[in-house]
Amino acid sequence: MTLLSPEHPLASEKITPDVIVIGSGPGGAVTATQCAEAGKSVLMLEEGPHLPLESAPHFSREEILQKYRNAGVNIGFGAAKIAYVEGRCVGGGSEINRGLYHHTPESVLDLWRRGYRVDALTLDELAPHFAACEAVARVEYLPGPAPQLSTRLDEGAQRLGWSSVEVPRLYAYTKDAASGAPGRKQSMSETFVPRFLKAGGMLMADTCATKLTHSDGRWTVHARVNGSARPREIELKAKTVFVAAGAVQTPWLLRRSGIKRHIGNSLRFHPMLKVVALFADELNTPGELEPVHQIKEFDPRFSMGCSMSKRPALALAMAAHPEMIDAVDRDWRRMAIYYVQSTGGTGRVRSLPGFRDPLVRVALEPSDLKELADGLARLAEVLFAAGAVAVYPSIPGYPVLKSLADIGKLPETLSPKQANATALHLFSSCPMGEDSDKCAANSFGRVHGTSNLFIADASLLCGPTVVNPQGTVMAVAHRNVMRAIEDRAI
Amino acid sequence: MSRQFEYAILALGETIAYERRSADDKRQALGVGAAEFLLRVHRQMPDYLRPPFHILVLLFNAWPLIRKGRFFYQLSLDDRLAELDRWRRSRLEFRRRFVEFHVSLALFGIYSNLYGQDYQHDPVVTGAPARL
Repeated sequence: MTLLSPEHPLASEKITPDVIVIGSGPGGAVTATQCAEAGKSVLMLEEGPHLPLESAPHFSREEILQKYRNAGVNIGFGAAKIAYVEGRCVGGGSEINRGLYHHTPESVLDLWRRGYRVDALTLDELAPHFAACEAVARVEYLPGPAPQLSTRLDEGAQRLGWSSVEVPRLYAYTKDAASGAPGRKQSMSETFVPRFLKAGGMLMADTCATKLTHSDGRWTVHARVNGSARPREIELKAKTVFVAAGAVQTPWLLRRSGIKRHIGNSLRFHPMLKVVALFADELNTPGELEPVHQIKEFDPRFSMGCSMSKRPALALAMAAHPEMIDAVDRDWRRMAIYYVQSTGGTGRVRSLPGFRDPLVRVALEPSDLKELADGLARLAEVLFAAGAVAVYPSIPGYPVLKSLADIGKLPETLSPKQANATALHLFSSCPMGEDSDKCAANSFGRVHGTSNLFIADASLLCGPTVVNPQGTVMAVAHRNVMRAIEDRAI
Repeated sequence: MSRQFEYAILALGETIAYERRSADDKRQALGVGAAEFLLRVHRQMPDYLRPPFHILVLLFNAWPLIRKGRFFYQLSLDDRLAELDRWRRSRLEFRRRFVEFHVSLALFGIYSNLYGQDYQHDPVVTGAPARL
C-alpha cells in the first residue's frame, strides 16, 4: 500500500509512473484500479483530503465542510441560476451521494450511439463492465421494509397508477450492529481505492493538477500540493494520463492546458426542485435509513424521489418559508423532503484568468422551465395522493399547497429568477464518440488529436443519463480502460 | 477577512438564531455556531465569489447607517430583526438573494447544532444482493 504524503520525498518529480490518474471519484478510482491490477505503475492524484467514511455523518454540516467542493457553494450562472455540488476528497462524488444505483437505460445508450456515433455501447456490451464493478462495490436492496417516508411516495404512485420502483444502493448492509451503523456505504474510498492500493497503486491526496503539457512522448502534470503548511508546485511525468476530475474540473484542466476542441461546451445536468411534505401522521424518525423509492412514470421527462429528511436538511429545505421554520421543531416527524428532477438545461465551463475556480454558465430554455413546473405540480399531486396535508415548495415566494385544488395556484412555468433549482448530477462536458463535429474524445475516452491522454469520468457521457449516473460512470470507465489495456495503448 | 466583515456575520448569525421563535436559552450560542459556519463557508466558496460576497456583507452591514446612523452589528436585536426583514422583502433582487443565502445556511448550521443526534443509526439486518 502506498499512500504518499505530500511532504514525502517520493511525492515529487522522482516518481515516474506509467500512468497518472487525476481524480479519485467513480471514474478515476475504477480506471486506476484496473491499470494497477494490469501491472502498471499508477499514481492517482486527488485534490481533496483522504478521509475515512465515518469522518462525518452523511449530509451533515461537518461533511459539507470536509468533503464538498467549496463547502457546497457552487453556482452555475445564467438567467436561471443553478446551485450544484461536487465531492472534493478521495472517492469524489461517491463519498457524498446516496449511492442510488441504476444501469443506463437502453434508450439513453441508443441516443448516444446514434447522436454521437459511439462504438460498442449497447446495454449488452456494457453488462460485463457493470458486473465487474458490482463485484467490487456491492449493490444491495434494503434488507427489510423501506423507511416510511420512502414507501409513502410509492403508495401515492400506486394510488395514481404510476410506475414506482425501489432502487438499490451501493451499500453493504450488515448483521453486525456493534458499530451502531446499518452497514457500509460502498463509496470508492471503501471499495476501489483500497483495492488500488493493494495492487501497488500510489495515492497522493491534497494535490491539485493545474496544467498538462506534452513533450518527447510524455505528459507532464503540473500540480499544487496543498497538504503542507505552505502550498508548493510540483511536476510529475508519465506516458499516459487519465483525467477524471469530474464534469466541471476536467474541462477546466484541459482548457487551461490548451486542449479546447469540444471541451467544456456541452455540460448537461439534472436540474432538481425540492418540496417539504407535511403528513397527518408520523413517518420520519431518527436513525431511519435512506429512502429508496423513485417514480419513473414520466421518464425521461422527469423523475421523482425522496431525499434524506433529517432536521438540518428539513430546515434548509424550509428556508424558503421562514415564517414556518418553527414547524420543523414541532412537526418534523410528520415531514419529509421530496424532489423532482428533469433532464433539461445546458452549460459551459470556462477558466477565469487570475482565479482558481472554474466559471460555469448555464441556460434553461423556456421548455426546460415549463417541464420543471409540470414536474413540481405532478410531485405535489402524488404527495397528496400519499396523504400529505400540506406541500411547501422550496422556492421563495411560492404558495404553500394545502389541497389538490391548490396545485392550480402554481405558476404554469418557472420564472428563471425564481427557479431555485439545484443539480447533483453533472455530465457531458467532453462527450465521447466518433463524430468529430461535437465529440471531445473517441468512443473509448481518448482525447481526439492527442496521444495517451484519456478522459475517464462523467464528462464523457453524451447526455443526461435520466437515472442516477454513478453506475454508468463506473461501467463506462471500466469499459474504456479495459479497451486501452487490451489494445496496449497504455 | 476584515474585522467589520466578521462582526457583521456574527451579528447576522445571532439575528437569524433569534428570528427562530422557539423559546430557549440556547439562542445566543446557536447564533455564534451559525456565524462560525457562515465564516467557514465564506472562506471555502469559489475564489471569484469571495470578493463580491465580502463587499455584499460590508454593504449589508453599512446599510443601516442611512436610517439609524449605526452599522448592522451595532443595532439592537429588534432593529437587526427589522433590518433583516426589510432586506428579505426588498424589491432589489440582490438584497433578497443575500438574505436567502445566509438564512438558509445559518438555519442548516443551527439545526445541525440542535439535532446532531438525528444522524445516529439504529441497527438493521443484512441486505440481499440486487438483481439488476
